[in-house]
Amino acid sequence: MKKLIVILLAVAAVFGMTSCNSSSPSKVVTSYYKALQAGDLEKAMTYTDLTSDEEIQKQIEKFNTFEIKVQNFEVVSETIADDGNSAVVEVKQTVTSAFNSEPKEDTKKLNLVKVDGKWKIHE
Amino acid sequence: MNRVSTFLLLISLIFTGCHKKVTPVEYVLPDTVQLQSGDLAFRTGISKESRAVTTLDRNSIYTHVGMVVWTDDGWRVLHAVPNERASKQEEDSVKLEPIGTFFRSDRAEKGGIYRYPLTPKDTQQLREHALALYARHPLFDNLFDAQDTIAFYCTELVYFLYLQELQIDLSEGRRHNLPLYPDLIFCTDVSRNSKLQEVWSFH
Repeated sequence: MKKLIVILLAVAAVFGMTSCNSSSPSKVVTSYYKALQAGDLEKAMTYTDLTSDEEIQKQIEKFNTFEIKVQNFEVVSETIADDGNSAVVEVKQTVTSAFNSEPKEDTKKLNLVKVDGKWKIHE
Repeated sequence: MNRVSTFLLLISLIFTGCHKKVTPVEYVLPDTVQLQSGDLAFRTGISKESRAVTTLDRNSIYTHVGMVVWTDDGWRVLHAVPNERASKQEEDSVKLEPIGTFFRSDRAEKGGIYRYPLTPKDTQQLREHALALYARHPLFDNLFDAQDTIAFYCTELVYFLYLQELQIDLSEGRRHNLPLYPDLIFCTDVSRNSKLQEVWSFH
């Protein structure tokens, strides 16, 4: 019986850790950039803390108007605040837009906040 | 014969039309306009980035800005601009161009000169700083990072000169946010400065 409890606890711990990882700040940022790379702006917005339709459409309009597109990205670092409610994820990104004749390569720091227990990119 | 002549005339007209190139016209500033170093030269371009700025920022009259400077060769505009290179081998950089070239017909459909109230000492300081900066041949700031002082985008350049030389924030703290970009100083952030006075404009 004790063995069974230990096994169940171990399984629960593994599941718990997996679930934490899948919603880590880095994972959310990765999903956001992947959606942008795929041109799925609506999906990308679900990883942000924008909630109203007006805000979301305004942000999508910015991407479209300035032809902002992600070519490549790589998460460089992740820092979670001591209180566990905010985080900063550093991303090395290659972006093209109406502003640049050549792709722009730089490092962008994204701020994340916890909204209803989920990490969201703060816009 | 008449038919043949008409046909030939039509063909020649079509081909002339096809090969006709519109030559850009240098703008001639009216003699009545009295410039001074430090004046801001605004224009609205016809490039896709200009269109993007006006589409997103409906309040924006202008999409590009530079600073007027007196040089040994006459009045010039110091400005940072992308996609105006003589060849693909060159890099986008800060340019010092005649006023007429800055407002050239293929680059400006609207334009204006605006003045911040300055003392003669202020204008002299701005002029010297602008020419010293140009001598370094800084590049256009493709990263749009207003924190650096190595490369500049258009509004960053005039903002930097006024702030560093005269401690005047032309943008009065206004910024625009674009996704995946740092906070940007748009033309409208500068043109909305309450102390700017119009010297001259064309639309």
